[in-house]
Amino acid sequence: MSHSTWKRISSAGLSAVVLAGLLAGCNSTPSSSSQASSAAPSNSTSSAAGGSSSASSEAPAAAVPSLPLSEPLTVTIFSNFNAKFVGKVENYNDIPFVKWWSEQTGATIDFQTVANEVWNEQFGLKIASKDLPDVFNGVGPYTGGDIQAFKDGVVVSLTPYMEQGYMPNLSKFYEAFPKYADMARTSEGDFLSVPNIRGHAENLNSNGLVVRKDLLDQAGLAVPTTIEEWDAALRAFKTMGVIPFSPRDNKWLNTNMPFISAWNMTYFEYQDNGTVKYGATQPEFKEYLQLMHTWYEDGLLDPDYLTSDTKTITAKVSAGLVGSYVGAAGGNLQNPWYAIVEENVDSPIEYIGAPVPTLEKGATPKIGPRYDEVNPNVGFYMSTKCANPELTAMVLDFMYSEEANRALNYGVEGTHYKLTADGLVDPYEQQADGTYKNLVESWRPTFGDAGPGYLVGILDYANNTILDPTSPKVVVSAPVGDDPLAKKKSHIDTVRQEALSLWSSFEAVNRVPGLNYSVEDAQARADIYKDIETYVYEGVTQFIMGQRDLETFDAFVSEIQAMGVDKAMAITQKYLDEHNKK
Amino acid sequence: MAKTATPGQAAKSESVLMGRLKDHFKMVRRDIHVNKHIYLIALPMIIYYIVFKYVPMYGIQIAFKDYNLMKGITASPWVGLKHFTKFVNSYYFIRVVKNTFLISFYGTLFAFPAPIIFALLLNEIHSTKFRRTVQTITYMPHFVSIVVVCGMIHMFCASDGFLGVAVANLLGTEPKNLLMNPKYFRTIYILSDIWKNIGWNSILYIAAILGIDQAQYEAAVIDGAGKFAQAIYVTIPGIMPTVIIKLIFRMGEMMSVGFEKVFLLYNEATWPVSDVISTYTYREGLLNMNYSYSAAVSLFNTVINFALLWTTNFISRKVSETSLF
Amino acid sequence: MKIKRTKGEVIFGVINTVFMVVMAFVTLYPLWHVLMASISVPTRIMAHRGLLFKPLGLSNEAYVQVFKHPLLIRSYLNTIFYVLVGTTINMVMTFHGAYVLSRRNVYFKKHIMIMITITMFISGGMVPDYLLISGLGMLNTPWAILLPGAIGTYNMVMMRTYFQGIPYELEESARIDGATDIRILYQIILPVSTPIIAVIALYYGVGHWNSWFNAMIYLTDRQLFPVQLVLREILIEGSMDALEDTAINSSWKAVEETLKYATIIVATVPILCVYPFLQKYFDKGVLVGALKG
Repeated sequence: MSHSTWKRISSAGLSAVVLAGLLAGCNSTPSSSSQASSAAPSNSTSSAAGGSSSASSEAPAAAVPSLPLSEPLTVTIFSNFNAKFVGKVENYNDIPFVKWWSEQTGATIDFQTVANEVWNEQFGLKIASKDLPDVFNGVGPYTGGDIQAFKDGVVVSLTPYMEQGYMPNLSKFYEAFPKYADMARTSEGDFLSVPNIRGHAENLNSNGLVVRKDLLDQAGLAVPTTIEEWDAALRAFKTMGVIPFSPRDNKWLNTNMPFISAWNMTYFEYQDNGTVKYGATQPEFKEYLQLMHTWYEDGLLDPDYLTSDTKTITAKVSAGLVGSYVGAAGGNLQNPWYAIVEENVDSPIEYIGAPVPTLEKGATPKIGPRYDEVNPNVGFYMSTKCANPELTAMVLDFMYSEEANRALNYGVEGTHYKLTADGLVDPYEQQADGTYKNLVESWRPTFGDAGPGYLVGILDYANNTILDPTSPKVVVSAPVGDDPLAKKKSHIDTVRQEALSLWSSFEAVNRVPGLNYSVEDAQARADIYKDIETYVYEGVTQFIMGQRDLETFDAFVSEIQAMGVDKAMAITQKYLDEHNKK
Repeated sequence: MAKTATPGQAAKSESVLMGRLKDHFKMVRRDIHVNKHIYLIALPMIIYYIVFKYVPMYGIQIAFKDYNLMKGITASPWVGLKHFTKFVNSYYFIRVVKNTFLISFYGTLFAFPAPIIFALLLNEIHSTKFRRTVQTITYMPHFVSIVVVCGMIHMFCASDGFLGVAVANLLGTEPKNLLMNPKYFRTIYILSDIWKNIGWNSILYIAAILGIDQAQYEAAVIDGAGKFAQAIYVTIPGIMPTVIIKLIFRMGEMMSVGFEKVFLLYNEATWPVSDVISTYTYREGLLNMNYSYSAAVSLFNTVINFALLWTTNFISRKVSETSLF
Repeated sequence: MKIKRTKGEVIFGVINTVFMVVMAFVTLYPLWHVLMASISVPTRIMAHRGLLFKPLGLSNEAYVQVFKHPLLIRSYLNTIFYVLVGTTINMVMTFHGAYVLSRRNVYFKKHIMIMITITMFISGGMVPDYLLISGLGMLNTPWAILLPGAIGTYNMVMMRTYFQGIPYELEESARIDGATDIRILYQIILPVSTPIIAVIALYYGVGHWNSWFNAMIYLTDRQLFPVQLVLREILIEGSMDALEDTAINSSWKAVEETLKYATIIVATVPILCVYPFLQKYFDKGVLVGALKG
């Protein structure tokens, strides 16, 4: 590392020693070289759930300092660089919000970012050369995830710091929302990170079925809600000369489950009232395959679907060639539509989100694409080489405070937004030339509209009502004026917001949630599933395209069972039972 | 001679051995003396290889260990052949090895000679300007990123792409997406390889052709050889060493079918023929940061590659004058 | 002496010429497509499928976006530095190494050959390489870019093959006159090796031009970044795919589509211009007259 960084860290270490002297009775070991001693206390607490630190037999530290810290502290954070910021800032440290965070906490936040592409390699190299930062922003690249990273002595458990009062905001949050605490806690009872939690339903999903409203109107059909209605709609689209349904490949058909979800299952694991089942081995799966095969034969499926990627589909969608597809509310729902109206603002083409289809009319779907609420391996993790873990914990914890949450999402009141009479956040400021500028964009540059987004993978409280139910919910959109293009775009934004709501408007009870597997079990499970998944995807393709007769479905199922699917499901079942007990 | 050695004879054969050794050392010393300039010139090269290639080689042991980043290479535990066994016992092991080999084999069959023939034909173009222009244009696709080229391939092979339509017309069927048909995968893969690299790969052969002694051509002409005969009796033998060395190297790459292009072109319909070792292990997700497993797979490929290289080199040494070593 | 051409040769000549013209068009298409797309209006490119021969509208948005990056010019200069200095180091090392390997009657030649061939197959892996560079104190310096790849074994072997093809008679007369190995290298071998030197220099040069991985691993100082690295940043490639499918917000510029093409042009055109310069070394008759007298 460079000389100046070394100087900073050693001076931080020095001040930490002074600090330790001041905080009589505090059990911190400030030297950055004694990795063993700083790791030991945390490891020994991992046995019991939330067990007390062995070193703090005395009362919690007499004086937990308040923020902002008075003594200088540098916190190095190793992170990948979110691609969205390329070209806008060179380093996270230049983001105004990060500077604000530094000021509020009195610590110097120093992000060391590397490009996404080499995050895996750089991560590994940092560890191999024993050059750990104070904090990791996410430990995704680490084999075995954060649990293994903890076991291997790369990161420390945060539980002792929470108990000693260094992390009041996070503790308060977990008290208020025990379900997130349960999800975040490891099976041995440790909290490893300041997590990224998707608190709001609309953050748990981003994709769903999108359909051409104008074509439906032409055919006199309503937005399809059942498989039967979809069949009718697709056949109508075919007569109108568009590609009725253009999915991405089979993997996409599974991950986004546009139609398989009607049978309340996926291709792979799902649960049925607490019992783990495997979709591809269920008899209903044959019905699904039959449907898709018929659709393929009758030309209702894009004949090129296996070679489609997002770009190809976007091209077809913006050329108006597609009747329905699976879209991302932000990405390929909005973008091609924007392109269409920019070419021709009066274009009759209209898209609309369609709900997850069911078999029976009016039924509630039980499964759909969802992200895990506690984002696994994402968040701030303190490394075992953290120069001053207690104070660093405080600095990180600050992100869960109400001020930080508000600031992250909207900026500082008065500077970046004002509250309207109805209590809505309005970040727009009229410029001299009459256009409106979104002030939050420069504060926390992401991409375009007002509204929160990933900054550092830590907070994703869209329209946050989790932490503070009274915090402003709805953000005002940019005033559109009379420009027809702007009006159209505003309409598009509304449509996609509605689509997103539609797609996340139900509880995916049949989904197997993210579970905290032990490292050995996770490995064993993955080993069995990896080849089964290849087999299933291939089989599905062959059935749909007619290369394999559906009569052989039973042989297909037997083969999957011979590959050991039951063993893998047993592992999942074990963890699911424990999870449900809570 | 005697079937069992008497002490006297044993001493004699021992001294014969010692004598031979002494002669050997004398020869080596003389060689070093005679070639002292050569060895001096060779020194930087040898140092380079030792420092940058051999010193880090200790890393190869991680294929036999459960490498843990925090513990470091030395402290990570030995696991013997565990990773190799896991790989070899995979459900699709045989298939991916076979696919890798077949793509390499057919590639060698068709994509290897193509730049050679192209160089020979280019050599026959009289106009220097035209020849140079063609050279400069044909090598351009090499520089266009493979991602873009594969995007074009997707476009051309779609059911409404010009290749998809052309093939359908030829066969009298309805247009279908060519990339979704396992039968066409290798053909598309190899043809696009030729398209992208023929110009670039021919440069080396063009240089080799230029290195042929002009006197040989003059002699051939005097003997009455026309263009065609000149090509066969002068040019081709002249570039043979280059061709052979390149071929030997090519055999040493048999198991190394690149990941990126296959990944961009394959899909579930063609997995049975297109899934190769690199894409399979990637999809397993076990390569990511699982250094030991990927080192094991790598070593597996390497051993096979090296064996093929050695064999080809051996054959070449016996059959021609040219060989790698 | 004018050689009379047979009818067969004439027909062959015509077919060959036609073939070359076809090849030129077919291989020109990819770059042409990219060039046309890069100057087109982004939204129209987004909806476009199929062949592209003319730009769809005219727009320089993509190039503006590329050149906006603060590091672009600097990284271009860096790359030129790496190409020039790097290739020089390459050629010096490779030229001498190939010479050694091409000599007859060198006892240890085979051993050396095997030793370096092995390195083409077995390597320690990224972590030991990194620890070595780190241990040598080369991290975050240009040396980390210039030294680890100083010799490309493949290139060196190709040069060796060429040297082996040089007629021995050329050397022979010099040896009889008492020339040392060193003199033979510079006065005999070097002058007749221009074609292979040009080719291998091109290989190395292009290699340096396109390289980015070593820079990404070993360099943290962005001021040292080569141009490919910066262009990759601008491009936001594969990672985009995952991010595109995330929640509501995605500031979209259609430029992202044409941006891809503009970066290819910016990344590629300079190096494409090198080859025509090298072509003058590709002149026939390098060895003409060498044996006269």
